[in-house]
Amino acid sequence: MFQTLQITEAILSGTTFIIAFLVAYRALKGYRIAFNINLLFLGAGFILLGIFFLLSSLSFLGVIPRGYPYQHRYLYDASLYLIQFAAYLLIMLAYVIQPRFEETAVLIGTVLLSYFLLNAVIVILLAITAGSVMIEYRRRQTASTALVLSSFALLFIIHLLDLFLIFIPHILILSTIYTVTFELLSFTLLFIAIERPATKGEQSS
Amino acid sequence: MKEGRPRSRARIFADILTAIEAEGEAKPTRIMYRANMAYERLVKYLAEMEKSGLVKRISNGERVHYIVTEKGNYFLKEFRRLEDFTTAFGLKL
Repeated sequence: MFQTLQITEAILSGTTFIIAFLVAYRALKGYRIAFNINLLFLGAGFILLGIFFLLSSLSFLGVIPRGYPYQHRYLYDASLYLIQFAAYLLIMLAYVIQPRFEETAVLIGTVLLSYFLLNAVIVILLAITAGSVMIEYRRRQTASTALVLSSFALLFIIHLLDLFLIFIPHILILSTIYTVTFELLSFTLLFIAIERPATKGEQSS
Repeated sequence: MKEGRPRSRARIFADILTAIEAEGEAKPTRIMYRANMAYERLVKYLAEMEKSGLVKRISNGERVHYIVTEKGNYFLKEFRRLEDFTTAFGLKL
């Protein structure tokens, strides 16, 4: 059973190696025709990927012993990962050096900045605020503090969800609607909290 | 150009060859319009392509025509395959 699995893995890796080399061949042939540096990087990247799959296939077949003691095996695995890393770096470079990369970088930068960095800061700030309000609510147990707590908790949840929504692009458009709706709801709660007449027990001490 | 980026040398060759291929036997002015190039540049490229064996110049008195050679056809075929390849990868040629 184990041997069958090893052979299957070797065949799969071997097939991938052939495909990777075919892609590399076409890319390098393209480079020879058009002298396009992107194709050179792409070709080199796929050659490295091909080498990775070839080595994997050979090790599955036992041609290259993965060997013992363990540190040697880990060294071998690490070198395979290094090959993969170099391959993907080269493939990425093929796209990076394209003229439109600047445009893409600005877009990615903006998305990262607005969605992750700023949103992450907002989430932290809201968590601190909501935490403080929660302490206050537990101390006072009033309707106003409950409303304020609900408001900040809602804002916290909205921004927390926003951090993950970027990974679900078809929900991204909807997220704007729900964000605005829930922000309005949370601010309404805040408004109610500050505008509602305080009952006797809620007077500030 | 659609995206305001200068054409690569290979693309210019391919555009010239496509222009000649469409006409079968093309005069430089026809190639100029089809390949969207200035006359001086076109003449320079045509001379280079003739030297590389991609096109053949046919003179009939004052009239000059160009035809695509077998090597030119091969180049064009390979270039189109390459174009498909780069498009599939989202790269620019």
